[in-house]
Amino acid sequence: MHNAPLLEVNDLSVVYGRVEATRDVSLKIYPGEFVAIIGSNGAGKSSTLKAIAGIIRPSKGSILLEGMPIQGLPSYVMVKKGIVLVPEGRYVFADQSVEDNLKLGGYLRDRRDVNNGIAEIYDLFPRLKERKDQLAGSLSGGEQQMLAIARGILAKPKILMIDEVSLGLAPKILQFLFPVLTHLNKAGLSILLVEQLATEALAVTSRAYVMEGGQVTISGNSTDLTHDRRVMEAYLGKKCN
Amino acid sequence: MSDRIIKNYFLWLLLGLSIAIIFLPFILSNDYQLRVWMLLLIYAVVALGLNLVVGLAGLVSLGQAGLLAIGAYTASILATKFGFEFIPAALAAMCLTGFFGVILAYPTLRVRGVYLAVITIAFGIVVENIAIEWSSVTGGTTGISNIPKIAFFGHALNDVRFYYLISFIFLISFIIHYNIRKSRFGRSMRAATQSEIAVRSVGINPISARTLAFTLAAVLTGIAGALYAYLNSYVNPDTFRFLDSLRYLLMVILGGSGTVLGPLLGAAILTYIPEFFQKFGVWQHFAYGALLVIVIFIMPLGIVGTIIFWYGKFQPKRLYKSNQWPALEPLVDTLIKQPIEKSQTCLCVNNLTVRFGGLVANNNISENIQTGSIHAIIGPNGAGKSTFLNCISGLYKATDGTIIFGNKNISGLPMHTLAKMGIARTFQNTELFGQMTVLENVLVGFHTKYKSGLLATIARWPTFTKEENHFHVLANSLLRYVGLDDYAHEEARNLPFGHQRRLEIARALAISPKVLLLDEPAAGLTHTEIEDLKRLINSLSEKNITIVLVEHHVEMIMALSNTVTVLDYGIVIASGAPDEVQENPMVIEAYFGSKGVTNA
Repeated sequence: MHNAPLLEVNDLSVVYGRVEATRDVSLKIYPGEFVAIIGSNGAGKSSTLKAIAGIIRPSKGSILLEGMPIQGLPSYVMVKKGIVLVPEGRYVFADQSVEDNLKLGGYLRDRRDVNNGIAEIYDLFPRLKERKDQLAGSLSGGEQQMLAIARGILAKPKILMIDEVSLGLAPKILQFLFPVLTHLNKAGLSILLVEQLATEALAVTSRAYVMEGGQVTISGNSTDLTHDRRVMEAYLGKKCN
Repeated sequence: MSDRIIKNYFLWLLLGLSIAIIFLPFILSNDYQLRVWMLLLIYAVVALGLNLVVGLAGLVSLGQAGLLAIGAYTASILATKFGFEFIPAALAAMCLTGFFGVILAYPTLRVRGVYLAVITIAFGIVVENIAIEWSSVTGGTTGISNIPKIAFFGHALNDVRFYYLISFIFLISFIIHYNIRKSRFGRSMRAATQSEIAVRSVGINPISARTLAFTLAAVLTGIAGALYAYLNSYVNPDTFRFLDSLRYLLMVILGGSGTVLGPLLGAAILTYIPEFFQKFGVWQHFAYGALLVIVIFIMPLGIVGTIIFWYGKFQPKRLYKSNQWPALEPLVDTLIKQPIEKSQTCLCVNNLTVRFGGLVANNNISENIQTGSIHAIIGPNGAGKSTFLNCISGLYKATDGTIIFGNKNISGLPMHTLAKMGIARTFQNTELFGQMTVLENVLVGFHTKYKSGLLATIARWPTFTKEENHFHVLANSLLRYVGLDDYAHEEARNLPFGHQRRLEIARALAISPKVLLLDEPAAGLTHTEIEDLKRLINSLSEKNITIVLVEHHVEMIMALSNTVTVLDYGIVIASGAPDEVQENPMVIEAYFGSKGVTNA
């Protein structure tokens, strides 16, 4: 159904100090796809995202965006090329207003486009509009996550990577956030999602990779994975009969 | 095993240095060269002291020349005007500088970084000006001359003997510096720079750690000042200026702050290079400056720091494995098991109110937390759950209301005091000592349990060694308990997020807590890992530890807790057994959302 992948990662390895976080990870994301990476802690999911976003330099392997090699470029260049990360733990600019946070998200773009973008964001997240003059640090965890995602969208990415949407969020907020992500994807945004809540992640995405011990061990359609015996036992908390 | 190798490396180093020092006078061709070496060793003592402040406690002091001046002047005045011998004069100098060290540490209660640097600069300038203006005592700009040579039993020391005396004091300082670094005191200093609230959460007052660093540095500078005065046989204010303070700081940074050999190397370079550059005539200052800029630009970690960094780069890489947790560890069981308390209520919170400006984060909360129970606090984001936890642990001060722990009123007590009383906690965004190893993180948790004092630590008394080994065994056991033993010698910041949470729990358990406050321990864990966490919390509860749990994983809370309290907008909207609370319509509306509990 797709021709060329939007993002292609080949044999990616990441090392911190003496800890090898990922080893020979390969994955592909096609235009308009919504893909998840699931797996336990220390499996190397976040490290994979950080390497793609240029926050850490991979020790080995290649990353291709629309066929062009981009591995090892610094993160601000990655943003310019259309790769944007919503980091784990949100990292909003706590001492600046919500609206300024959004403007910073669109730092590299034309100001008029950004203003239109902000208006769209406010339609999507009415809570942020209500609080646009408040300092971002005073927002609740859920609102900060909305802001972090919104800030990412305003950079107008070709691919949006989100690390741990659910981290520390109440069930009610998640019931709101996951449908928003689906909506954004339907509107044409390619999303790569790293998520611990495997059930939720597999429910919204079309394809998924499972990582274990720094390597991709299983991959496939999300619905198929939901019925995969190994995935069910390890990540969905279901017993197979 | 690796500890033994490290110990050996220091002994070899010490042996090498001693041999070099003993044979040096036979190699040197004239007295002037010997004098330069004596100066170098004196500066090295100052730099070793300063390394405790900069490299371990992470504070910048630009006032060391002021302390050196106090030491030098004290010794000279006592020697010339009161006829003191070297030993009492030097001891008096050390006492006085030590006292000023405590005073210099006082501002760290409030300020750090650039502000502290400015205060220490001011201190240095004040000392320099007192030395100039108080001429009846200090001799003003001409200073004090005719300081007698050091004599023991009526025999004056010749130059070579004086050199050996300085070397001896240098070697003692070098040993003290190393022994402090590799002890609970050094660990608490390093930990306090990396996370102040985390050291407080294990019962360490960061101010004491910093005061100790400043005082030890000042005492070493004091003896260096006395030696300096005797070496020159005169003192005047010219040699104790701001630029001299700057040079001592540069010695530490250039050599590699926080390293064992860095201060010595820095002192050697900054003493010898100016001598060497003298042949450049007017260009010497330019060459000196350029060298510093280039070296520090290329090697921001200092020379020794950079070598260690590259050595680490070439160590073999490997995939670490995390083990099943909680593992069976009898040692841990005896460590953390609490006696059964008679009283039913562990924590009694009355009318707790916390205001931040206009925002009321906690509004009139009254809750009893039963001894030995698992008490969950849930509620939407921003409901005030973390604020509540921060009040109980002493991180925040309540605006109003009281908290009773056991039978003591603990409201308003600081976190490190509460930690000593047995209230441990973890943090929502994990507060670890990132640049210390996993093992060291747990050892910091044991800090308040050590009995051996500063002298026993410096002298490596047998009781100290025994105690240190004992806590190493316990710390390793705690790491096996949480399945992180494979990571023991890795820096904590390199751990994946979920493992950092486990490490935080291990560190909190090191204080043998009566109450453990867990702030979202399951955030970022997978289903399997949450199952492990549930087993851990149950096993802690079986050991009579009271657990207060802030969490969003509803299924986990319902399975674990005896009591659930629900907060919304800072108010308790429900409190009781899990199944009652789950069906409360107000809770469903505020927390679970329209789809209700089935979705969770």
